[in-house]
Amino acid sequence: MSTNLNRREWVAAVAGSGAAAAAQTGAPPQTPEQELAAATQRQRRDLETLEKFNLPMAVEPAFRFEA
Amino acid sequence: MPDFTEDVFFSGVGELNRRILAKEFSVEELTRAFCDRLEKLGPRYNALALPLTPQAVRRAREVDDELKRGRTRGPLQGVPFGAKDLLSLAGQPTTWGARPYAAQVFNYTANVLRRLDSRGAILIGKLSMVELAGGGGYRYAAASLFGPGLNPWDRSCWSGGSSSGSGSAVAAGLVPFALGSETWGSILTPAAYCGVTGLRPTYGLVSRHGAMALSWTMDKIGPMCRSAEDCGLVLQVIAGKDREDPGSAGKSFYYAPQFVREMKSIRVGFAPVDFAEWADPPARPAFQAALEVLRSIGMRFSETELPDYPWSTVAGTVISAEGSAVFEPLIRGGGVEQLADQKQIAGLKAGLEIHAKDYLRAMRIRSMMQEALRRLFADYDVLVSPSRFGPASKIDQPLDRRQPERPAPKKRGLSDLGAAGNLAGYPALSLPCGFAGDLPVAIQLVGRPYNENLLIAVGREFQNRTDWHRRRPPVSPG
Repeated sequence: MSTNLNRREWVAAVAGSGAAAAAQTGAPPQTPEQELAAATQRQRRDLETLEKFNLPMAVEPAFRFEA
Repeated sequence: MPDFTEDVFFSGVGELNRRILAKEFSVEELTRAFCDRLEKLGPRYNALALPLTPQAVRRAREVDDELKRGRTRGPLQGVPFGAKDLLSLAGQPTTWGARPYAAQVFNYTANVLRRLDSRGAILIGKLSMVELAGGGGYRYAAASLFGPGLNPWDRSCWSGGSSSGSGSAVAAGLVPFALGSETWGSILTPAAYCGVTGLRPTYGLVSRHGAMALSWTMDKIGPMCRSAEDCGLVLQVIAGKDREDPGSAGKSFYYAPQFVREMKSIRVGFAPVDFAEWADPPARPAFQAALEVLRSIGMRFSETELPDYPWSTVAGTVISAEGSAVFEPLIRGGGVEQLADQKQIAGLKAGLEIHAKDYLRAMRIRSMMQEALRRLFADYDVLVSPSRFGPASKIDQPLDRRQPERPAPKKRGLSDLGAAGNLAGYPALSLPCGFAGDLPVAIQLVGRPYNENLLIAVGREFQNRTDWHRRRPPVSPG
């Protein structure tokens, strides 16, 4: 999986819920704790994006169980 | 032992098989030559995970005996190849590119390797990869047990990932073809960056048995070769039903270029904004020229864009949830701390905190995305876009670095085609199409499920009109 952000993703990331000042300056997190906090924050932003998506109740997940 | 020239090392599959059948050299001679080259030059690009010379030579002798008895097995017979080190080979280390698994040995061989062996192809080495195929996300090219994949065109640049060694080994003529894998970009990225042709098959067409799982619903195994034609020849062997893969589509693939529709009946969708604005400026001339070559084939072009969905967000959530679930024992047991990339470690840990309801939400949106893509492909046979918007980055640059200041395009075009195609399980073919400076760039063709023959046919037409796929990086044998 490649992690190059396109510009759309970068704009969303920087404009999101206070991604660390480190993100705005382009510097990566310095410690494992900061790294985990940044990952958790990214994930939370992603899940918030999905929460806002208008998902009709009838839509089922993209997998099917077979007996 | 014949004196093999560089021409042999950069020959395609069909050419090598033809010369073997013409007795210009034996399979053993060819295998020894490629093994020597891979062992000598593979480390130059951090491409080699495990040389397999003794086994390869033994197998080559068996294939030579078969040929003496008149038993032919098709165009891959006698052709050496490499395999990404996420494919198990019984009795040999399969490291998944990751320190915690450096000594891992399986007692079974991946289905795709057994299929290739049954056709007389000769596995000569396991090739390096980004640790755990980059499942948690990674910041640096050095996210690998083997160090950063180095690009044969410029070793200060990345070969791309996660099939790093596969890309660089084919590009440098160390193997005629290789197997890679793609969850989201891991065949197309190294193919683009290294200037080789890479095919991501339809999900389920090629068995995942014996391959490290990263995302059960998104992993695909595919060939990386010197041409679209070679991709077709390899796919024909590795594709097919496999009961040992729960995701197997139960379909075979027969490489049949003679039955493809007329080019003038093929409908191509593209987004000008991809080539003119999303693309990095140094790459734009090559991309525009490639578009013109595709137009000259006579296909019917019209403008389109992807429907507005959170493609990348859904892809990232699915991979994170599934990947962290796959590696839960590694994460909970602390072995994850041995990984090379801190962002990867953090991403895997964070992924375990994704709740079921969030994963299911992502998978439900994915259903809608699949339907949206099906509707889009009602009007098109192929979508074309840059495989990556620019060439390879320097190996010491963070891969999630802020892109150069440039206004974000107002139109999305097909910029999320990588996420969309992988989420929906659609096939894609990456074709080298020129250079940005000294580094290759490539375009991707994405088609409907099981339409690999169409993609390969268009790829062949493109490669009949260009020679980018025949260019060779500056590899000095010494």
